[in-house]
Amino acid sequence: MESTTLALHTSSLVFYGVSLGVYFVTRATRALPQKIAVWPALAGLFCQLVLLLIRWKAGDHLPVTGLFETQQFLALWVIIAALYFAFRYWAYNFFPAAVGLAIAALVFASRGPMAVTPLTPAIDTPLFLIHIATSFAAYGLFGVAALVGVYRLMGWSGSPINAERRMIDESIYLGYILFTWAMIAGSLWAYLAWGSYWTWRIKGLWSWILWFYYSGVLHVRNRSGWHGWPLDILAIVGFVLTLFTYLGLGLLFKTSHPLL
Amino acid sequence: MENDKRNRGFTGSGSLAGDGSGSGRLRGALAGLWRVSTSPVTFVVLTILWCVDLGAGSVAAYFNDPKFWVKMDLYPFNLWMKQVAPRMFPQSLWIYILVILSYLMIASLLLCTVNWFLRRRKMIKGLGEVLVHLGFLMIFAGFVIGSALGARDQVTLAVGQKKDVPGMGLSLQLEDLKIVQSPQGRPVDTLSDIKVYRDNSIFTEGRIRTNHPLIWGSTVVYPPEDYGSGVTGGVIGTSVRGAVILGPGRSVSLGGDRTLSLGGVLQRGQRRGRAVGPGLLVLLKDGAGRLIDSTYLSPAPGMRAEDDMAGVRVTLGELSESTYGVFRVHRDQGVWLVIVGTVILGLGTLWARAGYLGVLPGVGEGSGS
Repeated sequence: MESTTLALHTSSLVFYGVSLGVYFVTRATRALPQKIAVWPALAGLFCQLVLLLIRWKAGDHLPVTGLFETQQFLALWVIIAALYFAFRYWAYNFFPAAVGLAIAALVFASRGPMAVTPLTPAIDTPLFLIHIATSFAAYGLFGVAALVGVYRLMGWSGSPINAERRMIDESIYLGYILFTWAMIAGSLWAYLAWGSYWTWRIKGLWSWILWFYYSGVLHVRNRSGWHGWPLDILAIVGFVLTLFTYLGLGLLFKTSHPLL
Repeated sequence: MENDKRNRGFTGSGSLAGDGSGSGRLRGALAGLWRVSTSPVTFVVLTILWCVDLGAGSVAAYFNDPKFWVKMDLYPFNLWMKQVAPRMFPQSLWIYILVILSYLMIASLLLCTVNWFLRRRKMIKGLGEVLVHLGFLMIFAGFVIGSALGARDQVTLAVGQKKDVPGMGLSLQLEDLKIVQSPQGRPVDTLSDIKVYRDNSIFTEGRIRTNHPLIWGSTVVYPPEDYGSGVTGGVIGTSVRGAVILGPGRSVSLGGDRTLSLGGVLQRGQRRGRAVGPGLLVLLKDGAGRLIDSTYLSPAPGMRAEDDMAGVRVTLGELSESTYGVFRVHRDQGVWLVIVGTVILGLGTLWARAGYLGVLPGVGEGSGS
């Protein structure tokens, strides 16, 4: 299993690398349309999906436990969002940023053990799987929103039809909904496993901070004065908060959600 | 939440506010207050303050005492605020501020939701967001109820033992406790068969394990957070009835309206005063349950293994050991409100998403705000 995992993991990384290379070559030479960079990325996504299915079958549960699997899942959502934007909004110029984020997640995933391990009784519940899957999907979408925010702030064109605002909206909106489900599943799980849907632990508290932060963003995003750079800054700060909640707390504090 | 334009429309007091009369000024002031109260900006400002207070406070509390949160989780929040927070002041100041901000946020949400119902109750558009608001309000209400009325307790039970849970009006009996091991021999779970008694009759019973507590109504018994095996009783030789077995919750009649029972145990390595474990605290009581005499018997070096109790000679035979577990019992009267709230909140997100995608009839894209 580990050799298959390594092969598919490496293949997806290579395909995403090729996708980046193709994008920059076509951009520099203008010999071919930039959209052909999508095809190697689709091949990389295919490798990731095969890996997900193989590990799902081997472990008999959705593979979203541990550093390797969660980062794989995050990268999967980033690529899916980038492909969706590419096909719907012709956002090929945004593609390299999203693929770069997915590559970063996959490289980070390489630090985690790749063996398929059985679930311990504490995490052997659908609530855990929903909690983790929706959390990392949301993290990926918040990351995509932040990247679109950077594009808008820098004045780069991500989409020839100026759909950047739409992209940032969709990423934050879907990310927020998924994160809400993550909070619901996590709270129900905590109630059944530990006796309370609300625990005064630093990871849970910062997850609430993140949820309220994006609640605030959703409330102001359609208000006059917030359409432009303030929304971009909010999206970027939101992802910084996300990274701190996920990585910062795991590295700096002893939490109920260890990083490795 | 709706935008300011809609709020201005709701009050409908623009002309009155400016008419210069006393009642006009009052109506104008009230309209302004309503606008501020139901404005998304108010909620966002409160949210920012809440996030900053909780973020900074949580990190500072952790660095002051890494076990701060673990200790806080031992109490329902209301009890913690009454008993612990005043002792910790000013380190607990940020939690007082958090409570105030939470109530202000909830008031803002509530007023926004009321405003929506007053103004747009016939419109499908935006209903998803209102369901999210309603769900969150119910969750908060459930949390407040649970914090105010809830109770938490911890009971150590040996297999076969029955104990009262003070303050909850019930007793627990541990019928069996099995430790589940991994193929490598590592303990990974426990299976506990529990009976719950109310007024001395069985109220409910069941097997509990990780993620599968015993739930009835608002009360829950969780799997043991600590378990092991140790002394739970023993054989005592008596001068009046020969050998008797003492165990948890078990008393033995010695005749003459006197009973022998177990007052407590000390495990190996445990010490209480001059008593050294392992050993048994043996109680001699009269027919009314009044204590006549007590003694501690132990095979440990320097300790007595026999004694005279009001004319009855007692001698420690062998100690019996069995498995025990430490069980947590929680009562949270607000939990069902929380669960209904989460369902409504979850449905609200689905509705909002459908509205955003234009799936709902008569609702265009981009309705989510």
